[in-house]
Amino acid sequence: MNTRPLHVACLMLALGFAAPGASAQSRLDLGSVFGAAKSLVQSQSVATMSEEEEQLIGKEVVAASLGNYPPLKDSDLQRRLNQIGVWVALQSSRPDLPWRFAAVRSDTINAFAAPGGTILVTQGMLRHVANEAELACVLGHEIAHVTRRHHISVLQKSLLISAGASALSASTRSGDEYRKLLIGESKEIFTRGLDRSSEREADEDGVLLAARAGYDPAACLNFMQRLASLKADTGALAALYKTHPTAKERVVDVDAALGKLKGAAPGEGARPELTLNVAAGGGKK
Amino acid sequence: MMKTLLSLLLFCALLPPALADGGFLTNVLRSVTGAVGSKEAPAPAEKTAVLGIRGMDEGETKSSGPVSQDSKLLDSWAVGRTEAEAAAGRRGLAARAVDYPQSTTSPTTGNSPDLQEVK
Repeated sequence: MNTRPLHVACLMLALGFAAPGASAQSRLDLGSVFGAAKSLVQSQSVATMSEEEEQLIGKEVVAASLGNYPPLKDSDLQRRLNQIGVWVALQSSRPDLPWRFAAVRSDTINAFAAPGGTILVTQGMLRHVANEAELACVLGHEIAHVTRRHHISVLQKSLLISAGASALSASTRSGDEYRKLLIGESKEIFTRGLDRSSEREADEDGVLLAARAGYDPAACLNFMQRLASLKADTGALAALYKTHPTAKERVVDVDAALGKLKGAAPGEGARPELTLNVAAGGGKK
Repeated sequence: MMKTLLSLLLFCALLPPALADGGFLTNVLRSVTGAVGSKEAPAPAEKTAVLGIRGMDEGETKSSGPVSQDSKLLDSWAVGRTEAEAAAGRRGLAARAVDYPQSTTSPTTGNSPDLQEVK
């Protein structure tokens, strides 16, 4: 039996997605969803999820999130951002994903990754980076979250913890129990961010992908040092620090990553001027 | 089947108020109750309680409005490999064989075509 559609339904439910209309909701077979919850918990691997399923989840996430973070209506800026982003993504292990990059209205300094290959970057972030190499580091970090399927993994781990070891063998566990489990997890999972090791991996990969793309990897350290110099309690950084380690911790990680690189030393590579005209891209929210 | 449906309806009827403006699951459950005639079931179509992306504030997710057509714009701005490579070339960028030692199993780096070039 092909259980992948059930996995998708379960994941979308657990992520708390809102379908745009009742027609979409009515397509859900609740019995199947609860069955899928068991399957997801028991499978203990995100490897079983297909790329299509991952993208389906990602599209729902992105469509909903654009309500809060509308894209800047500047085609030139957006296409230029996509040229840079795709170029960096081509250096990853999943170059053929349908990568999408978008600059969104927000003065916060942040960037987001959704499963399946869509990356949102705030206006605040685009103003903060000093050059294209630093932007490549930021995009590389987010690309890594996608390629490593960090979000899908943390959801599954969370479900496993909540279900408990006994649930793994409890084939008779009731639908209500799984329903309550999913309700609880869906409220928590993505607002609390990823774990420290995932962020460290993404920072390391960001350095690596930027270097592979021909940029000076030391730009990643410069970016992080500048971030660390800002007051953490400023509004522009509040959301970032809610879900990420402090910039001072990340400076240490990035510095260590630079020291490990083989094939490109810090200082070797390009630092092109960033030609994105952020101010003209729709202005402030 | 009928037993399952009755259990579900009972659960929906007993949903606490705290879940009333909750997420998708609540809306789904309510849409089910609406489908069988509950007078109290609100139309869920325009209420888009979202979550989703790491770093998005919980308050922001709850206040999300209806999904717009903006997502279609993202597709219109997408570029392919050829265009990205050409743009990089114009800026003097060239791909390099770079890696970390002993990272051959890395999901990000493991399938890289240039992995074997770096020792």
